[in-house]
Amino acid sequence: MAAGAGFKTFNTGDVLSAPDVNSYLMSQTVMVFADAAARTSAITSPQEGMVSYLKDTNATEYYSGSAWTAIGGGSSSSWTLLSTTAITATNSITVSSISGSYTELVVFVENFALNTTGNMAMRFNGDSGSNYCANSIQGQVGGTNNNMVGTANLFGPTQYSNLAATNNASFIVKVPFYSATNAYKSGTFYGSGTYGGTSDPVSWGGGISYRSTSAISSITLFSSGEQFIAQGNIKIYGVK
Amino acid sequence: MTKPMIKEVNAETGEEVIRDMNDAEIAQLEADREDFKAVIKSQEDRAIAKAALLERLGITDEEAKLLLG
Repeated sequence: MAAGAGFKTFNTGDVLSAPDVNSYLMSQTVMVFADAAARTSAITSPQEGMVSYLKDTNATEYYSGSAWTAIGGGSSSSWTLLSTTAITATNSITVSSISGSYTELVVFVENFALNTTGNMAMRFNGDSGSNYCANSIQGQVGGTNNNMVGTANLFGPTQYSNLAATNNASFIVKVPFYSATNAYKSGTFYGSGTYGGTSDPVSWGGGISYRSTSAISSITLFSSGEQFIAQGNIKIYGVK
Repeated sequence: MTKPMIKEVNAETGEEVIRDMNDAEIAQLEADREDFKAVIKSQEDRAIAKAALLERLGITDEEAKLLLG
């Protein structure tokens, strides 16, 4: 195949010749394959500049002349935004039917606040059983560093940080292999906000363990009784 | 009195429902609230006990950290 002939716009009535197909069309399209093995099988002599899309990893790649390379930074991982939920004036928000087709689940809770000073926590799959373990370190400017130990039936990106009312906070929860059905789940969380009753900046980070062999298909974010203020978002990404 | 509210979102379809919590959900909310309170009280008690111990030993928090570091 003669790659790099340029770009051609075909007009009505044009005769599509074999050389046109080989030199233009095949270079102008994104070729879709089930996976890299299928691509290797189909294209035995890739040409520099070819572009392909792999369905198993959702990766768009170009051929550099010596290798297939991810477009946009060289990373082989790809993120897919599965859901964006506006935080509303409720006490609890559940996002369900989360696709299990990824290797990692990442939840961003952005710019949330409570209507009175309080705490927030999270559960998976609506499970309020004694199946969680969380431990994290909290740093508070103007205060003391605290070890935060989670309770058994929830885990707390923020539950012991005593968040100030109306001050915005954000946190991230990451769970690799969240859809595994043959293993318990483990992950990390970290975030920051303002300590309740003060203007002290506070941040925290730690690990979580979830004793369940069910795939995580829903998350529930809830407060210690306060209402969320209607601002910010919960964004859920699947990462491959 | 206004009932606590819950928002439910289906990530696949985008369908959203905001509704009053049912009795079971309110019971869970109350249980969680007590759980939060207990843990926070435990943390506060620990901080008070720590301060009392430091005072009895006659050292500051920083000095205690130096000893343990």
